[in-house]
Amino acid sequence: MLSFKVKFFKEILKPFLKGFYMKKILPVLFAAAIFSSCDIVEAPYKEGVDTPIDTTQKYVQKVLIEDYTGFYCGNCPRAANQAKELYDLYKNRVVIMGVHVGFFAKPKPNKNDYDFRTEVGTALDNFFGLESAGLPQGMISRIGYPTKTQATPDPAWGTKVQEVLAKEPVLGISLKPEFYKATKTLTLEAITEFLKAAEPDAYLAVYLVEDSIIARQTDYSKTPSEIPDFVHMHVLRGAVNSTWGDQLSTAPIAAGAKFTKNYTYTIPAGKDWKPEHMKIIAFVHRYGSTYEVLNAEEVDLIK
Amino acid sequence: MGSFVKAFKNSALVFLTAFGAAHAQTAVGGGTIGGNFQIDVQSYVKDSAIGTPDVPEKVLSNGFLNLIYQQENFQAGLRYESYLNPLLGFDRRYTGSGIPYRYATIFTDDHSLEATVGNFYEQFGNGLILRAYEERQLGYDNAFDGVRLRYQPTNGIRLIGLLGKQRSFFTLGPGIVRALDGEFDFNEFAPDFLPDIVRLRLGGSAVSKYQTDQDPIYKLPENVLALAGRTALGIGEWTLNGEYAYKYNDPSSTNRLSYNPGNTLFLSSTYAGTGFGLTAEFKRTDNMDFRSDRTAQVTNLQLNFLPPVTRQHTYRLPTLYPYATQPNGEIGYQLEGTYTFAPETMLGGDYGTTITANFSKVHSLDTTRIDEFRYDSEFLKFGEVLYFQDFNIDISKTWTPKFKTQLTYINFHYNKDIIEGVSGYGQVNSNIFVLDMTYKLSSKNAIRTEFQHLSTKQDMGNWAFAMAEYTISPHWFFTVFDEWNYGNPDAGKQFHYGTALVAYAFGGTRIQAGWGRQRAGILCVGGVCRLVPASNGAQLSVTSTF
Repeated sequence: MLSFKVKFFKEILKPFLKGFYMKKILPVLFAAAIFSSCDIVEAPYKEGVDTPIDTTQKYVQKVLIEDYTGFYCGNCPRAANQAKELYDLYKNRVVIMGVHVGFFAKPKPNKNDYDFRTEVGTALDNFFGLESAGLPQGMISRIGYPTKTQATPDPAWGTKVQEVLAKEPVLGISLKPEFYKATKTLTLEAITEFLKAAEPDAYLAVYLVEDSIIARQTDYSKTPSEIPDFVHMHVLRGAVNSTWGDQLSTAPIAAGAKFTKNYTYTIPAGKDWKPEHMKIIAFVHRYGSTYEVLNAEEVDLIK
Repeated sequence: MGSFVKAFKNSALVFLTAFGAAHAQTAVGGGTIGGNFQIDVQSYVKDSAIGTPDVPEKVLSNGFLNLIYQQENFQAGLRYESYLNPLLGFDRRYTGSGIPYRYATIFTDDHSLEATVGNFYEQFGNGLILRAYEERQLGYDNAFDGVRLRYQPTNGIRLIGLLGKQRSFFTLGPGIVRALDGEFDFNEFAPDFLPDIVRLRLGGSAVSKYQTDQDPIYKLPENVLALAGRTALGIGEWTLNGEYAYKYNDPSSTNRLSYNPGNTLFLSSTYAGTGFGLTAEFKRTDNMDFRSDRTAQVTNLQLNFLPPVTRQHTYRLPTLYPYATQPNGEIGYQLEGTYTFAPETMLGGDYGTTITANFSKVHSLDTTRIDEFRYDSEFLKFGEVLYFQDFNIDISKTWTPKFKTQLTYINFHYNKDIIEGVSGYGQVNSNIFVLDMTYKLSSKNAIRTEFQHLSTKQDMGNWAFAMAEYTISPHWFFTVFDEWNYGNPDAGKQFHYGTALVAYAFGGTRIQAGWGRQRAGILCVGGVCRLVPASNGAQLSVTSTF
């Protein structure tokens, strides 16, 4: 049935390979190619990139960096720093969300640890599997979910951020918040305007993050590595609507379509959140399909 | 000793290394088909006392099937893998099923020329700059997908060239690997040149990887080259195996974007006398985490393997504190001596006694930071931080033809913070005793017991372990064991972790079923480790070779 005689090999390939070319020249050429395949980079190791922002458009493409972290994770401040470098490079085209999850975020008994964990953060981690890939870990606009490559280590963030920012925006989001200090209540008008046609898998999620929270953090790049007064930025506090947000349309969306959602949210009693340090972040993502974040927006809770 | 033998064997070229367990047996169309199959299924029940993670699926499984077809000068094979969903402790990126491994190989009658397309495993020398291998228990597989040529132009000269990308779960990593290895065996090349007692082998390799740099902040090298040279010298009963590897700048996520070059020096020497043996090993590693993707982490897409210079313990309690190689920097050595007291002597008794003593120590490197991206390190200086120290001694004695024992003592100094990447635990010092006794009741029935005790003032405190294994050969195996953390400083966590297993073997097949409660732990093979969460539930495992 499968009478396999490797005639080609025996009669043609073998004599050829055994001949002069293989014996003398090919190994030398191959070795030379490998030995010359090396780039040696000299300092400075950082490159200065000019990133002009097109101010003529109403909406620009923004990127959502989700930094999965924990205060016992000694390599995590490095990732937070990477997010900051990208923010400094691309300014307000970068929206950052620090998500404290899992083992490294679990308060230890008798240590007076701050519990940064949130229901929404844990749900996201369970779904996207960041902690199981090892912290620090991030997602860049959640790209890569269909090929299970959404978990992105911090040195790869820059590459993916650049990819996302090179895209033409499918939609733009504008946020109009009002915060009532007395009742700690937020009312928010979130307008999503589609610049291109889209599928009905577009969901709008609205979260709250807080800057400048002082609490302990392990940082292996410092000696001693225990930092009691680390400044935690972009800490995810909770969802204004829900983990996955609200569907914008049950039918395919045409270019030019506009959806307005109104939300009311009260900071739960007993929370030590400081509204003056808080931001609202909103993004539209493709729920149930690629999960990719199409665009993101961020505004201060209090103007 | 063990790691030396392994390194020595691995450095010799073995043609057609496909799957160790597979034996081609079934004739099909003029050729033969062989392979092996395994499935592990585990159920998970909620056990909040020991903190088991929530498993919504309740049942998880890992399975695979290897098939190899061989006919004359042709071999082809594939492996189907299924993780529905992956067992706890395995990376969830394995979720799913597929054929991540398939290959075809053609070769000449004398194997002097061999060409492989598709997937393959490979190792150059001790693996310092290239080793593709599979470690199923760890969920580790960095097989190449590409083309490989092996060529032996004359006796004693062996060349390997390969091009490929590496496996990353069910996809391939982004980096392209080009590699070349040459080995020169003096004894095979010129059998009469060297004196009979001298054996000499020299080798060299080069590995280059290519990955694009799209990073907006850093200037990253797109091509990274690593070179290695090695020698294996034997004079009579004495051997010396040495290899040095050098890697050019390779900033990556695991070396925290260090632009330093990397290097490793590995030396291993043995002397095997009559009734005794000595081994000495030394290894110094600086910035040698080498992957075909600079952003890969944990055990994903590793290109090289740094052989451990610490003993790999297999008894249960010592596996609480296993050392894992620190590729970013470590320096260490290992000494081992074995002596057998002959039978009919005072210490040898009627049937002889063997004593093995082993000591190993691994330290940090002595480094000084220059800037954010570079540091200086002293070449042969031990740094201040002790990573790991192990002193152990084994005494094995056969008392009667039916009864033998092995007594083991181990003293560990384990830097939990460094090895497990945590903080606030510091050094864990422990003393372990293991008594292993085997009694043959008859030619078919045997009973083996293990009693182990671990004492430590740190971490989780003292542990005790007892196991009994009853074998009715060739079919039945019954095992029960219990691990008890009776010395946990938190009285509420002094748990028992018990397991009962029964196995039945027939032909090339083994079926094992059981129930167990497993502690959270670290599973290590060859110095590569993985965290496994605690679990409780039934397990079923079927393995078959055909």
